Amino acid sequence: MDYLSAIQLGFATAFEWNNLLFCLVGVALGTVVGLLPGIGALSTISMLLPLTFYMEPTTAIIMLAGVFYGAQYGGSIASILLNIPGTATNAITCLDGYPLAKQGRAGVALAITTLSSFVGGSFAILVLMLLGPLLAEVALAFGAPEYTAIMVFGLIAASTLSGGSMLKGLAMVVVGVALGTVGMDMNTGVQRFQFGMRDLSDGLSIVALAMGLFGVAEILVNLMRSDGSPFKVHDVTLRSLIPTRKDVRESTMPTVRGTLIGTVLGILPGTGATIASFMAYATEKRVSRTPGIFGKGAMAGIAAPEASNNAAVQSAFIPTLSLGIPGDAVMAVMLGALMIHGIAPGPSLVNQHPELFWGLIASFWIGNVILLVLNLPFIGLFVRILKIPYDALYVAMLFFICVGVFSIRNSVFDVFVVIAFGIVGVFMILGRYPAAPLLLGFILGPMIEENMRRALLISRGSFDIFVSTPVSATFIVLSLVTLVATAGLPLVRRAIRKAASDVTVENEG
Amino acid sequence: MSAVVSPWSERIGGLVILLLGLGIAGQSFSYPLGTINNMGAGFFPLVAGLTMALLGGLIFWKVPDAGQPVETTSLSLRPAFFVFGGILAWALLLRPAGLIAATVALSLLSAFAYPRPDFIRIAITVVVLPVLGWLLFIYGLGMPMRAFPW
Repeated sequence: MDYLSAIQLGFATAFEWNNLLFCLVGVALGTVVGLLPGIGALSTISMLLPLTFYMEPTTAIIMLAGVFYGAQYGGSIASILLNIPGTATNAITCLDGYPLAKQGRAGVALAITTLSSFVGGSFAILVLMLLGPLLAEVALAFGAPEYTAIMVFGLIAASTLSGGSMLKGLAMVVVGVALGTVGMDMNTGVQRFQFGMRDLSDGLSIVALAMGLFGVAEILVNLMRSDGSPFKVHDVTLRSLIPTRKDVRESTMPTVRGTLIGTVLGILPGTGATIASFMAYATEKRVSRTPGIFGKGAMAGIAAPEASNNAAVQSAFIPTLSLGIPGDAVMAVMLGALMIHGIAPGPSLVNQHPELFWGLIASFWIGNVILLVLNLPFIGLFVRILKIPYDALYVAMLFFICVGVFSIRNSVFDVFVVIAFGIVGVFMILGRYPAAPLLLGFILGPMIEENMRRALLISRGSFDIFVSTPVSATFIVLSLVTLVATAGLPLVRRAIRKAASDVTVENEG
Repeated sequence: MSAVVSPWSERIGGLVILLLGLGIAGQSFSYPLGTINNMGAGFFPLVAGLTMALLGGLIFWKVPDAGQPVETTSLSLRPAFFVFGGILAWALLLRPAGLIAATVALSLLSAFAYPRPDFIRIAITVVVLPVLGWLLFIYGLGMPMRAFPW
C-alpha cells in the first residue's frame, strides 16, 4: 500500500463516528484524570480496559491512547494552579508554573503550556508517521538476539535514568522479571511459583498488578497526605489566557528544543515522558542567558518540559507499534489491551492491520486538535473540576478498580492480588522504590526469557550471538554504557538526581 | 518536608529483597534447569533470583536513599485499614451476595478512610455507586456477575 492511500485510510477510519466519539471521550477523560492529582493515565487505562472488550480493537486503542496523551495536557493545569503535579510528567512544570500563577499570570502559563504541548505532540506524530512504518520494515528482519538486546536496554534505561536510586530501580526491574515468571513456562509447560494455586497457572494479571501498585497505592498515599480540605482554586478567565508578544518569543525556542528532546527520548525504550521533561528543563537552564530567572516564573521553564513530555508520549508509540516493545508501563498495559483483542503487536502490525495502525495515528491528529480546543476556550470548566472533593472521587475509583480487575478474567483471586500489591505499593512509595520499572520488568521479563532461550538455542549456547549482529551488539553496548555511566560516574548520577529532587515526584509512570 | 528515610528502613528494604531473591533462587532448583543452549524452566528464575539477592545486598550495604525526604509526612493506619477492608469485603461478598451488596460494603467501609467523613456524601455514594454499577456493568454490558444473592 502506498503512503498516501495509507494516510487516507487512516483518516477514513478515524473519522468513523464511533472512533471520533471515543477519541473525544478518551482525550476529555485524559484531561480530567491528568489534572486531578492522585489519579494518572495508567490507573485510568487499566480501569477502562474491561469496557473496551465491547469495542472494536481500533476504537478501543484510540480511546485508551487518548487518555494517555490527554493526561499530558491536563497535568500541567494542576502544576500551575496548585503547585501539585497532576501526573509525574508534569512535576517539573510546577517549578516555574506556580510562581507565574502567584504573579497572577496563571492564564498565560496555561495557554503557553497548551500551545507548546500541541507543537511537541504534532512534531512527534509527524516523526511517527515517517519513522514508524520504516522501523517496522527493518524490524521484520530482527530475530531473537535483536529483541533480547533491545528489551534488556529498555529495562536498564528505565531503571537507571528514572531519577531515583539506580540500585532500587534495578532491584524493582528484577522483582518485576521474577514476578513475570509466575505461572506456566511457555516452552516446557512446567508450572513455576504456583504453590498449588490454580489461579496462578496463567500468571499474575498485569492489570491487577498495575491497579495495586499504582491505583490503590496512590489513593492511599493521597489519603494519608490529605487533611480533608478541598483545593482552593481561582477561576481562570478567557481574557487572562492571551500571552504577550514577549511571552511568545521567550517560549518559542524552548518549545523547539523540548520537542526534539522529547521525541528522541520517547523513541528509546525505557526512557519516557518524565525523564524527557526533566532533561528539557535542565537543558533550558543551561542554555539560558538568564539562568537566574528559572524557578521564579520563566516561560522557558514551562514551555520546554510541556513540549517535551507531549512529544515523548506520542513518539513512544514508535517502538510500541513497530516493534511490539513497550517503552513504559502505560504502553505495556495498552499492548495488553491489543493482545486481549487477539492482535499480536509487532513489526507485522502495519501490514496486517493497516486500519488500526493508520487509524490510530490519524486519531492522534484529531485528538490533539480537540485537546487544543478543550484546553483553551473550555479551560475554565476543567479548572472547576479541581474543586470536586476527593472523598467523592476515591470511593468511585476503588469501585471501578474492583470491577475492572475482576472482569478481566472473571476472577475474585485477582482482586486479592490487588490488595496484596496495594500493600506492597504503599511500602514501596514510603521507601522510595519506583513502581514503573517493576511493571516494565514484569511485561518485558517473559519476552526477554523467550527470546533469550530461542537465541541461545540457535547459537548452541554461545553468547556470541548477542554481539554478532550490528543491531543487537549496539544495544548491548548501549546497555553497558548506561550502567557504567550511571554507576561509575557519580557526577552523572548526581545531576540526574538533582533535577529529579527539585520537586516532589508523584509515584506514577 | 521534614521526615527523611532512615538508614535502618533502607537496611530492612535491602534485606527483604535479598531474602526474597534467595527464596526465588532456591525454589528455582525444584524446576528443571537445563543447559545454557537449552534452558529449562528453572534457569531464568534462578538468574533473576540471584540478581535480586545481589541488588538487595547492595541496597543493604549502600543505603542509597538514607537522608532523602519521604513522600508522606504522616503515617496513619486508618486509611489503609478502611481502603483494604473495603476491597476485601467487595471480593468476599461478590460471589455469595452479588454486586449490589458487595458495592454497598465497599463504599461504606472505604468512606471512613477519609480524614473527615461527610455523612451526606457517604449516603449518596452508597446509593449511587451500586445502582450505577448494576446499570453499567450488568444491565448495559452484560458482564457475568449477579446483582443480588438470589
